[in-house]
Amino acid sequence: MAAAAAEATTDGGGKMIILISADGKRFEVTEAVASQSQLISNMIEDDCTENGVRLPNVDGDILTMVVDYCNMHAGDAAAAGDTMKASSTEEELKKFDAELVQALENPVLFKLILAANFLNIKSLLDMTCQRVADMMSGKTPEQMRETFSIENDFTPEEEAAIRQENAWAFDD
Amino acid sequence: MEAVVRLIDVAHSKLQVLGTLFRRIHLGMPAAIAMDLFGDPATVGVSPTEILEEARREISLSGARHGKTMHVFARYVVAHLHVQQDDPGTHYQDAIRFIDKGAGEDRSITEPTTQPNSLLFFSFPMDFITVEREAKLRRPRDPSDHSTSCGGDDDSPISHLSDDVLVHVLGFLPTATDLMRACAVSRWWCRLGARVPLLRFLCIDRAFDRQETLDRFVAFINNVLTRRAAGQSDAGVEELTISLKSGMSSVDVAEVDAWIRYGMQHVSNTFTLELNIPLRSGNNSNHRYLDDDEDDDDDNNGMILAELPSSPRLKSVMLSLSNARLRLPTAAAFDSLVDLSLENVRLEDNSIHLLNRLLSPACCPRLQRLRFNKLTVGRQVEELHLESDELLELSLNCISRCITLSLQIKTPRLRVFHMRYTSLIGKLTISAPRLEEFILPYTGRVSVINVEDMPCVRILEIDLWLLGGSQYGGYINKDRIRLLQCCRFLQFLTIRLAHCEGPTEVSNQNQKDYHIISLEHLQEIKITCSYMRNHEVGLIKFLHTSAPALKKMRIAFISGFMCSQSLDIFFMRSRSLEILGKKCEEFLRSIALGKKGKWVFCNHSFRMQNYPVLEWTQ
Repeated sequence: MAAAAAEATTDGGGKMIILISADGKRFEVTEAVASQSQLISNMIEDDCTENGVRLPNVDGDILTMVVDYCNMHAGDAAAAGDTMKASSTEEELKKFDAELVQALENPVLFKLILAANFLNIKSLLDMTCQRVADMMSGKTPEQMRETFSIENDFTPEEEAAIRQENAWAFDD
Repeated sequence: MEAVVRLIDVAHSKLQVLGTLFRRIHLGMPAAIAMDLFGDPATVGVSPTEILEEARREISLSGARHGKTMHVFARYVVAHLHVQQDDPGTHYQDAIRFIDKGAGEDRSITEPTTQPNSLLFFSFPMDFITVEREAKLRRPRDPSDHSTSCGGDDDSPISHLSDDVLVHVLGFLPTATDLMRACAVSRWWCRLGARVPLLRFLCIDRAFDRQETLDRFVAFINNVLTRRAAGQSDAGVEELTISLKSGMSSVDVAEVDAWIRYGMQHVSNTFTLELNIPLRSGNNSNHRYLDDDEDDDDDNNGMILAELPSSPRLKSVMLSLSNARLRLPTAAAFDSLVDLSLENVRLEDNSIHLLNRLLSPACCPRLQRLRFNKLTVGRQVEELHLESDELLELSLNCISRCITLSLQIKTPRLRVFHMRYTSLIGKLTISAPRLEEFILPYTGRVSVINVEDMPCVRILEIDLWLLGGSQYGGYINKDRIRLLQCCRFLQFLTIRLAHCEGPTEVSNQNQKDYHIISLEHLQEIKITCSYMRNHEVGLIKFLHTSAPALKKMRIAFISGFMCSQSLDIFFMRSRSLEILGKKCEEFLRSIALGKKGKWVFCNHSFRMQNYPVLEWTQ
């Protein structure tokens, strides 16, 4: 999957950059694709990508997703001038994004958020954070704790105070 | 041992100057100048490898983690310690290895209590590390360790997220209700919830049918807002939305005033207040009416809100106010306002000068988008002036009650102008040379339209009134024809043939007027009409002649009481859509057009599915 994604961009022109995941997997992408990451974009400006970019806190499977995402969205900026093209791919992109995010299990989703945050890819970060917010919305605090395995560290008094302050939010 | 301490000192000082370098570049200094200013400490007795080793220790100890560090450090070593003869890749790989190792050790090292501040700069390009460190110190039990790869062996993967990321997540919650529930999950979330800069008070799942329900929601809003206002500056609200849209319960006008004041004064970016419920004055449920409004049936026509306070920071304001009266400011200014939307608002009588003031560059110097919807102005003959060099989009829909409104628009940068259902405009004078989209249907008989050339208009939507006796083939308002002439480069034209059964007027216009306009770029015309008369025939022929490049003409017959000169209304009504369609088809085919083409039925939209729609293509 990753190899295919990399190949697909080789004819896109521009310099290629190699991204290396924590477990040593290599991904070849164009500068345009990689530049969606503000971090890598800064590195490109500083000319420190010639030996490949090591990303020691992004696993290969996560980086595969990130690279897929960036490959899909690299057309965004390029096609901006051509409105017809942009509008025709817009739906595909939405579908791609929805499928990408919907399919994720919790731990993978959080890893993807960390990667998006680390690489500073705003659209991916927003999309993944939105997904987490969607999982929270409409739930009671108990359900949220259960969903995200969070320990309740309030004292009973504190919790009662919080509930009383915002009584509206805790109606059943 | 002494040697090691010295090495650490050297390495540390190098990291410090490196931090300065980062900061300078981060602040926008060109890399070459930053490099020149880069004070390189003495390297006597220190080999690059040792430096790297010490740097690794420093880095692992302080938990700095970003990929940037290694790259820049490796570059630094190569460039400034003159080790070009070595393969730079070796040092680079060394750095990676050391840092990987360091990162691994970092897990086992107990949380350092003091950390060299210089290393904060390694958080470049992200500014999160300071906050994360504070967070770590505050919750030593927290298992999140951002310096390592995001291992999933922890029970609570969400705690791997940094404070800022989690605040970002909480900002995506659709309502403040969700946000306050999230605050009750744990102490950590509670603290972060108070930092979320977006508050959206919407009630999606409940209607305010009972007064008690609404009162509790209002209390909830006020509690949260009060806590925010009392909080520290970093808890500021960037976006506030209060939306009370359904139900019969009423809200006290004083609350509304307080929300508007809060929004204008405490919110830094976007303030939206949408009310579509009755307002009341004080705690009794007697609505305050003004006695001169006996002909209005709106519940809130007498409710008077306080004067709109000024705001130097807000960029976007949207107020929809249940038809309450809003006092426009006499002195306030809105220096950063880009977007202004007023909906369901009444202005006081004789306040048009205040509206003119509000829309003047002196009051809103940056205004780019202005939207009025269901705005009720005073009854007098009024003049509204809109002169702005910044305005890009203007929408004036359903402006009512005033007998004749004279509208003067002078906006050199305006791109989009929509004016719908504003039938009482007597005179429209518009100078907008860059206008691209001009939508003007349901504006009744605007008696005078003064337009200048608008060579950029691509999309135009207008009403046409076909008047005159049936023998004349109709006469079209001269102003509308002039409008068409001003839009020489028009590509898409939509015409609504207004339903008019007015008295027979003797046309003072020569029918030759029909042939003097040239719309060479016009490609598509959409017409909605109610009749099949000679008027319509004349218009269709005229448009065909005027638009040599025409590719499509779509005509929808939308009147509920279809009629033609030859057929009885009731006969038409009683027949199915199919028969109706056949009639329309016959009618259109009977029109001799200059160009070859064919009429076919098309029904693209659901809205039109009950009406015959035919499309002509070449």
